[in-house]
This record gives sequence, C-alpha cells and structure tokens, in this order.
Amino acid sequence: MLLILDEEHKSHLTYLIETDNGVVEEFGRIAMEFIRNGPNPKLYQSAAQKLDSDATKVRRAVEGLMHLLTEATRLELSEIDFQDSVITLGFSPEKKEHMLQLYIENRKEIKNILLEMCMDLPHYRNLEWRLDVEVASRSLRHQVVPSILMKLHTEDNGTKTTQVLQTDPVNLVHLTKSLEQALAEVKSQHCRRIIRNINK
Amino acid sequence: MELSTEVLQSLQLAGDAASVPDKCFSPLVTRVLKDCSSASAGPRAIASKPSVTGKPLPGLNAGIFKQVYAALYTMVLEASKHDLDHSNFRHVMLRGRTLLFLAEVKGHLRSPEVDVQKPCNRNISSAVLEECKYTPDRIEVFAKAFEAAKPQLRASLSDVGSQFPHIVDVDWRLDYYIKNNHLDKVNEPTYLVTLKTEEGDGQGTKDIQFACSIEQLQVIKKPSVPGISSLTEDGMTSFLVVLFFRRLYAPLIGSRYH
Repeated sequence: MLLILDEEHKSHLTYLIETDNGVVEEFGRIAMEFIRNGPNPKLYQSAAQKLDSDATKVRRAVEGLMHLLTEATRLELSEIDFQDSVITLGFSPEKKEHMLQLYIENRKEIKNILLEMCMDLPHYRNLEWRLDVEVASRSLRHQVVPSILMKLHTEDNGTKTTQVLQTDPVNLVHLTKSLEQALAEVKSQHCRRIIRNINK
Repeated sequence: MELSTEVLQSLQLAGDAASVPDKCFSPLVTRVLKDCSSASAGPRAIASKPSVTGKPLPGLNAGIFKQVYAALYTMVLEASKHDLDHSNFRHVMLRGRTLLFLAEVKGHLRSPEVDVQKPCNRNISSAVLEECKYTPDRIEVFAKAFEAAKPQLRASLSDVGSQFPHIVDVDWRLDYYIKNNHLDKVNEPTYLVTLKTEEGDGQGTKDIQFACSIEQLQVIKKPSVPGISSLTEDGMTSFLVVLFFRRLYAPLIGSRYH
C-alpha cells in the first residue's frame, strides 16, 4: 500500500527533497519534537536563519514531514511500503534511508501518542476489595451480614476517579458468573470468525 | 434493652385491663406491629395522617391509646433492634415492672435513667408478673404477634443507616475496536461493563460504566487471596460461600449473647 498525499502536502515536502541530507535529519528531529510537544515557532526562526531561508517554508516542511510520519503510522505502513512511498515522492536513496530510519525509530512512540489522543471511555484502572461482616448498627444489633467492599479506580481522559461499592455474596457470585460468560464469549466461534476476518 | 420510666409506666398501663380492655389488646398489638413493619407508615404517617393511622381503636380512650401506642411502639422497636425472642420478651415485660418499682423506691435519690440501666434480674417471681398486670394471655398474644412480625421488622431496621452503593447486577457488552480517527488499525476486543447499584433509598438503580480489556476483566473477576477465591470459582460456588461464611460466623455467634 502506498501513501497517497494531496498536492499541497507534496509541494510542502519539495523543500526537503531539494535540500541537504543533514537538513532532512535535523528536520526529522524537529518534526518529532512537534509530535511530542507541539509546535515551537522559535525553532523555525533559528533554523530558517541558519539555512538562509524563509521561516514559512521551514515551518511547512517540518509540518509536512510530521504529517507524513503520522499518516504512515496511522496506516501502519510496512518498511517496504514506506520506502516505496518516499521514493514515489521523489526523495533520493540516501534521504530515503534517513526517512526510513526516522520512521522505524519513532513509529512506536507516535502510535502511543496517537492512541492517547483517541476518544476515551472511562476505563478500568484498579480494583481493591475486602471482606467485611456487619455485626451491629445503631438501629439493629446482633446481625451477621457479610459484605464485600470494593474500591473501583477508573480513569477518563487522565481524570482518575474512585468509587466505593459493596455487594453481598449472592450478588458477587452472580456478578462473577456474568463476567465469566462475557470472557467466554470472546472465544466463541462467532467472535473468532469476526476477528479473523477483520484481521485479514 | 433499656426503656425509660415514662415508657415503662405506659407499658404498665397497656397491661392494665381497666385502661385497655381485653378485647382491645390484640387489635392494639396488631396495629402497632403493622405500623412498625411498614417503614413508610411509621410515626411519620401517623403524624401526617392522624385520621387514618392514628385513629384510636373503638372502645379505647384517645389519650390512653396515644400513650400505650407510643410505649408499645418503642418497645417493639427496641426488642427488634436487640433481636429478643419469646423468652427474652417475657423477661423484659416482667423486668419492666421491676425496674419501674426500683425507680419508684429510690425516688429522687437518683435519676430514673441510672436506675433503668440496672442489669436485668432474670429470677422474677410470679408475684411480679401479677403486679405487672400483664396476664399470661396478654404476654402470649404479644409474644406470638411479635415473633411473626420480627423478621420483617429487622429487615426494615437493617435498611436504616448508611451503606455504600450496593451492586445488584451487571451488564456487559463486547466490542471489537477496529479503528478511530487517529489510527487505522487498533484491533482489540474491549468490554464495556455497567454495574447496576442500589443506594438503599428506594430510588432505583444507578449505573457505573467503564471499559476494560480482556486481561483487566480477568483480574476483576478473580480476587487472588486464598479463601475468597473460592467465592468466584465455578460449580460449587454457592456451597463454598456458605461454608466459608459459616466458618466466619462461628466465633461471632458464640459471643452473640455475651
């Protein structure tokens, strides 16, 4: 599979195609910095001064490179596909090597960053539990009521929440049974077939 | 069980055939137990709807009804709270008289509260029973009705007080997460779990939702401490739970009546 980029994006990348190999390496570093921490206009200014070039041009080149890397990661391009795509764009063999190196070194990190940016549901983090027996209360003495206390830690977009819950043995058994059924379902024929077909 | 002098005096009144005729006693006890059992129709209902719940029984003076109703109500709640059974109850009815007697004898030397907290004297002679004006028949009527109503009473008393949201059910959904706007290939199964909880205020259930992976769900359903793990294993589950808790109960039951 080849990367298909629009014309505007290609024109931004031409600066990289025409420039020195060292510059491509440096821009790769700046593009990764961009992905990690967001844009840094000062860096563009100083790079432009060094290269005796236009700051806008430099900015566009860096952004183009960044977009190329994120697109490739998004589509999970293989190394061969990535090389082919870069050559199709007009990069020289040496530059292609640099780009490939940059992609291989950073694709894991980029993927993690992209994963963090995804739509997030409140998700499970931890579960603490303990077993108590209620023996008396203000309104009722002489009781023996077992209860399982749980502290559920969840996280939603970086906000951590904890909830204290309780249940009784009968409900705990019911809960466990239902969740076991849920776990068994992923191994069912239907699920396996769907997953196999999607992964093809 | 500790009752104030006021309540004991009213109880004595309830046992007196002159103020509460025999034919009124049984309906009176039934009324009190019924009102105690239904949590919503307790004293609050009597206050808001005096014409219905608080209506005196026919053949009973309104003032006396109010007094004995309150006393019996208090005693029923106290007795349910302490889980007194038939024999205990006899003692309490008798003891009530003894304590009252003590309070009267000691007069102003001590406050009545101090006196009523004296330990129960279980060797009460039949002379005190007669003095108490509770005939064996009345004690029998009360004890029988009370025994029948006690489980319900204790159940409603156990609802009083605070508790954490109680998990009563669970819903789950299995999704296969394929892609999103940032990544073209995620491909992992995700469970969306909804825990249904009740807060004990009769407001229905509340949902707690979260997502988790297969591995995380395996952790959730398998507590790893020995003993409790028997709770969640298959087949023998409920049997093991009972065994486990029975072992847990044993020392507690031993100290139940000190």
